[in-house]
Amino acid sequence: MFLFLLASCQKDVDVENVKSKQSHIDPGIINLEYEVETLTVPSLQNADDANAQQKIQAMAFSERNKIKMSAYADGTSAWRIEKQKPKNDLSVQHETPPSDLREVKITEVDRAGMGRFYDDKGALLFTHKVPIASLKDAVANVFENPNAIFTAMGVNTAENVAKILARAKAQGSIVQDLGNGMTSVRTGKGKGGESTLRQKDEADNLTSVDIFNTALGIMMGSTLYDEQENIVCQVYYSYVYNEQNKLVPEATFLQSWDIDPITGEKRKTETHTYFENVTATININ
Amino acid sequence: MKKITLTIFIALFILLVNYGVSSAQTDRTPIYVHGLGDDRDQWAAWQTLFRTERRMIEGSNGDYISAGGVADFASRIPIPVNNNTIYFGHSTGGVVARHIVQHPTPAQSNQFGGIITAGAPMDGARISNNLANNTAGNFVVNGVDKVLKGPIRELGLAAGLLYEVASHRFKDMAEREVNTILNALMGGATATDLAEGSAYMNNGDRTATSTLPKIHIYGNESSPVLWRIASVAAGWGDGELASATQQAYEVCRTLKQANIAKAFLNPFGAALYRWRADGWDTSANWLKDGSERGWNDLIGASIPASITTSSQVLDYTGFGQCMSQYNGTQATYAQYLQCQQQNTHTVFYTTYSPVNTLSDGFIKAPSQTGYHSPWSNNATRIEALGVNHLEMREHAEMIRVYNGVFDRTIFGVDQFFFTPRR
Repeated sequence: MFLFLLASCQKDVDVENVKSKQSHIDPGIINLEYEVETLTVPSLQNADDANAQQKIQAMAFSERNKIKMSAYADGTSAWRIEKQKPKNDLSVQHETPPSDLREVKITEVDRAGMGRFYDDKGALLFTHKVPIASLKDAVANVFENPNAIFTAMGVNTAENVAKILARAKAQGSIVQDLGNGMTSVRTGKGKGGESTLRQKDEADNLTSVDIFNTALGIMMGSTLYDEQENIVCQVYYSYVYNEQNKLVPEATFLQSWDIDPITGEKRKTETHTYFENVTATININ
Repeated sequence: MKKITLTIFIALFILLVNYGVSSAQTDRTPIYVHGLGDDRDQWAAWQTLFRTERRMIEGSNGDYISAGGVADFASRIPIPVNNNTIYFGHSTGGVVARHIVQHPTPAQSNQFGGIITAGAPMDGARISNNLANNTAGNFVVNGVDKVLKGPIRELGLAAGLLYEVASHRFKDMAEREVNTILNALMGGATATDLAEGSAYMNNGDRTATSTLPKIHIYGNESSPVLWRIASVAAGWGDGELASATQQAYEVCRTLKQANIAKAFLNPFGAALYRWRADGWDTSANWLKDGSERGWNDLIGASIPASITTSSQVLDYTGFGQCMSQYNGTQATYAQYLQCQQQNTHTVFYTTYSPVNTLSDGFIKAPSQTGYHSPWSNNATRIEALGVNHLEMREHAEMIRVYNGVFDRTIFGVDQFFFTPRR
């Protein structure tokens, strides 16, 4: 894949004469804008005995971006991603000795999946294919239920909740009432929901269990299991009131596990994702 | 008449000072010695250039067996012609120069007059230690694992095919380009000798004193040094692979953000998209920072440091217990948020974050200058900015350095090295 990415580089660009469109994206069916900051903290087994290489592989990273995206009826999407200085900045000792490579500040991806990468002056540095998967499921969901926007995070009305659960059932997911207004939705191989979890990929062997508070209309958490029912990752949602006294997503806390290829030990990575200034609109004629 | 005599005397004095008494009359004889696993091509371009532009004859430039230890390597170097001879040594060839000075064979007793080293591990090469203990090998294995995290999770079986291809191709690349430079040091006894703290490095040569004129040229490559030196190993310019890696990094970052957004949009299965985002994050971070800092650690061009950061973390177990008090009733939004708030804690993380330091991408700068070798105390240390270990055979910056040495326009260069133009 690495070489695949390299092989599809487009190098013959006139970098001086191509400027960023500065955030113009044609409105789509779904339009999202927000700022997002992620802090990634891999864990370190036996930290006291770890050598420098193991510690380096467990370095923490943070990044902050301003996201603007639109998804269209055919499932294509357009994106604008602008890097911002993280509030929790870990890049103090980022690059020494210095590099003469110009840093990318803004990334734009058009509906054809072509990415354009600009520096802080808006000059195009390079172009590159960005294989963003189709968003047709999300768009179809919005067509069917126009009031359900960013349904994974955010407050849904009782009517929306009923529609969302009905759609999950129709797609083959196992919907189970846990009592006290809590519902689990199990989606994955042998459990329906094939269109939600894309077929023919590693997710084919994974099962997702989402815990939905139907009374409050919010998603509480989501867990991914492998074929042996081992947890692959868990994500928890955190909400906050905005100025309009409405519950909006504030953060997600992700824990994921993989296998260290050297030691064979299971290792955990925590990713904290904070959202700000979230706006979401739909545009159905 | 007195005035004319004085003028001639002054002119002769200047001439003698600048040329050196012995060098004024005849062209210099150079000896060129390559590094471990290398060949005479290392110096071929310079040999031609110096012979053409400077008062220097073709001299000696051979292909030497270099893997049998520094002493064995040194024994193969031809006899210096006279004390006007300059010894040029790249990499291990520089260490060999010191060995000859300290342990000349009977045939080498007629020593050369001065030494110029370029990228020579005078204090040892940390990469040799890390090859011996397989840390370098693990670095490549880890890199393959991390760089493929995003593609595998996003593209699955389709990527499974790609995985086979990409992993092998990436491994090929790592083995061919990265390991080309690693393998150069895997030459048995010499690699053992070059390890930092080895018996050879501690045999007393480093701590001996020597008044022989010497120059240590040290490469100071720009970031990312790994991808720049790997790019040169692949036969490209030093920016090719650095630029390509930057592009791959940016694509990985973009796909990470796309998956975070998808987690917003899909009612169920959000964990899947976050897992994929995590995969792309892993790929991106290794491409940009993990590879560079890992490599700098392997070559010893790394200063340990750490950063402490904090984050608000939701204790989901405590949150669930808090919410259980509303069993049978129904929590309000305010109660939900209260439970959330009560179980949100600040967690501090201290993360290793080493600082990369100067190197030629292969040997850290202090070792290239013999910083810990008293034998090099009288050496003039000259920086070759933006030059990596493999570029020392042909780089515009090296021309500037050599001209500065031969013209003595670089401060501190011993007069011995003055070599006039033809």
